[in-house]
Amino acid sequence: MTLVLQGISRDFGPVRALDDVSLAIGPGECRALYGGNGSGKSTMAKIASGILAAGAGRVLVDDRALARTSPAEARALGVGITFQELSLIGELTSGENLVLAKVPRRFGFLLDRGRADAMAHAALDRVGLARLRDRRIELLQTGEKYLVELAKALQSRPRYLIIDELTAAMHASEVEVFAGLLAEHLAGGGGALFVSHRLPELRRFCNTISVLRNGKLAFEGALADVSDDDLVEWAGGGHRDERPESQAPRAGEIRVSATGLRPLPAAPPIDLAFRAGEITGIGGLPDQGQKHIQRLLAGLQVPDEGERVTLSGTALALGDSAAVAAQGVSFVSGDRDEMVFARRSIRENMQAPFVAMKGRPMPDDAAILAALDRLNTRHAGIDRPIGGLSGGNQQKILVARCLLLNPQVIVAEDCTKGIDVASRNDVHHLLRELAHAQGAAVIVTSSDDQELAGLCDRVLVLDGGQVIAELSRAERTLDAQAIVSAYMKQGKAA
Amino acid sequence: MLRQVWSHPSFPAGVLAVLALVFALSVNPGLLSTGSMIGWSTSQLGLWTAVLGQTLALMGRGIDLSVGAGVSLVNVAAIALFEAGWPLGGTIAAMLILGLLIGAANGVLIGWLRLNPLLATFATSFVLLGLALQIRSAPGGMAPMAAVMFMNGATWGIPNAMLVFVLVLLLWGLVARSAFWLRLRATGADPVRAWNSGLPTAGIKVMSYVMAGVFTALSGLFVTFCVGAGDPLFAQPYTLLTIAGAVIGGVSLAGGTGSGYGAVLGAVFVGLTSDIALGIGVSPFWQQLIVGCVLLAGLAVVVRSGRWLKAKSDRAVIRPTAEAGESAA
Repeated sequence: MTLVLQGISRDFGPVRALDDVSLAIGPGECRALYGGNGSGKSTMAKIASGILAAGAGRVLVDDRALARTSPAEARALGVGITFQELSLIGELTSGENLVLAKVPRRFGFLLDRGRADAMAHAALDRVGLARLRDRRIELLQTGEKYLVELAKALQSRPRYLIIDELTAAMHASEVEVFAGLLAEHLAGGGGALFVSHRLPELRRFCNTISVLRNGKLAFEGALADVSDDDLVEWAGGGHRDERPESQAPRAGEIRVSATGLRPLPAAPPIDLAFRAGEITGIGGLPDQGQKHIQRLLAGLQVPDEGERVTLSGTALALGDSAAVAAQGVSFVSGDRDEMVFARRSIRENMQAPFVAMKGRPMPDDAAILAALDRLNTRHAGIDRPIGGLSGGNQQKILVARCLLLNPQVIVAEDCTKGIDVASRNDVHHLLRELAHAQGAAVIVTSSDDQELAGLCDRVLVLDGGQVIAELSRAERTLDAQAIVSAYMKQGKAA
Repeated sequence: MLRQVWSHPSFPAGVLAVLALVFALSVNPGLLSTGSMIGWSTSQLGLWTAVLGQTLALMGRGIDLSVGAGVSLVNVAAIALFEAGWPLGGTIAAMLILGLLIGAANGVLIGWLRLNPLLATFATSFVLLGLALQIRSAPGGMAPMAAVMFMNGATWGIPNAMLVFVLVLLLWGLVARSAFWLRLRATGADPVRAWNSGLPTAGIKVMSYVMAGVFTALSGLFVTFCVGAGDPLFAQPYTLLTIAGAVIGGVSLAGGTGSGYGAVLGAVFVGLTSDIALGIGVSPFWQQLIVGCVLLAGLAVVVRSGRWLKAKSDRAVIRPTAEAGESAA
């Protein structure tokens, strides 16, 4: 009784995403599928669950072959999957999403509302969200959506569960819920394939591991027998431990001055200043007003009454993203859905911001290629659609175009979300260069406090729309522990 | 509870339809007489029914530009069968099958062959219109007198056409309560995620057009019995009127949201605008222009207010729980 993927190969255009990869998952086994961005992890998960066709090789579920490329058939054979990009329909309620695949009926065609609600209640109760079953998915918090996705995958009672980067956007308490359900699934004789590039989580949840490197199987074995350093090396990341560069940033002039900000509607207004040549992080628990500040600076948010921002003394055209971009503010988000033109070429994606800047010449191919080279981005030519690249490579391209723009200010909203250590280091290196060498004011947020501590020169910790702590590398007050204790203390006091 | 009423996607269309009705009555108080009601409902019954077919197509992120031609074909084909001596029941059954076939043709082109719905149904509309013109190139013919008399009659002061439409709404009620409707909404809202969730999206799209074909057939039959004759061009305007009606009624062109009842309210509004233009006695040369402007205004009001009401409702849903969470912490 095993889920077997045998000799799987798959090409995307000229790029070979998977090359003769095999793996098997038995009862009670949680196998980690580890690798860098673009290593073929997600492709493998999608082939196992009938979303993508394998170019060569086959999928066997308990000795029965997955004959067609069909998620419905994979599901019927006993494979459940959680998608990194979710499979939930935003316009439907969580309850409706849960019953979609197997709608309870009366008289063969009418929706049985009573039973549908009971089904949804039972499934959502497992993740503790039964109270939200009548709420539309688009109104849920990110972490809640991933829990609903998990409930949906478990709902068909699969024997094999494929989990693609589920926990990346979850809070600690939500990860606990997941851990409990996974343990229950494994104890009941189920198997799981856990796709992730976060080693601590792999160690916690998995007992065996398969490592992919550029679409090839680089290692397979018991997780207990191998060290983290080995795994990182096999995954092709090399040993690239990041050390915060100690070079003191030039104490630049105040580049951005924001007054009367109201990050949360109910809180009193605050003033903030950001210096040229400095990387400023905005930290704190999620949804404390970070998003409002960044979106306002990028011109993506209509300003509230009294909010004013000046860039080197000139007023920013708040609420007008094209005008703000033309004034020299670049925005990068980790949410690729809203950043990339997936069907357009890499070249066009690199050139896109220049459209807003009238009078600036478009970068030519040589400049684009030079920028890409500096990021170790794997691509099959800049004429190919950007959507064909892995998420991490897309993200690197978005950051690389800032090199060409040479902006006054960079607003980076969790811009390394869901990318591997090596790519993340590339992005950090680039942001440092933009700040320390080119003198841009860089304003970042991150869902990872460790990242803020490693990357930033200064971190403002927000709570309830107010700055509750200012930590600085120069004054040696900045580390991850300090960020966490700043907002945790606040949480306990309230 | 009240929020569920004003935040419903059909709410603005309902308000518009009521306003238009009040305005129509104020310019022509005689409209409430049984005679006028019969005239109004028999002239609109075909459109009200056809808009439900359009709603099915739009809900699955499709569109049906062949509605007008389909209704016309059913109309002239029914008259041709009557002239050939077919009985009433046999003709109705044959026309329902014709509607299913029209829908299946559209559905296969769009769902299985994956042609663009706009272009595919645009092309089939010419095929259907060509067939209709082959059967009857000019208005004429005669439907069975008893059926025509019934459609143009009234029971206890209520026009029979309206009573028939109540039956159509009951039929729609079954569609809206079906398991299929939920799966169609999912497919229209997000085809890729619906497929990833294990839904047979191609089959669902085919089915949506097949069901739309049933409403096209019903609409064609109603036109036949209300008008009493066959006319290959009578229902041509239905194509765009049903789209306008459905959109004003809160059905999204991007698929996945809206309801059949809203679409009917939108169609009522669309139909009333021309009646009002007639009622206030403007010259026919200005009528089209006025009707067009009223439609544009209606569309703008519905789309803008719909978005605003939805955002307001969403905030109301999120806020109480956010506050509850804070006080608990």
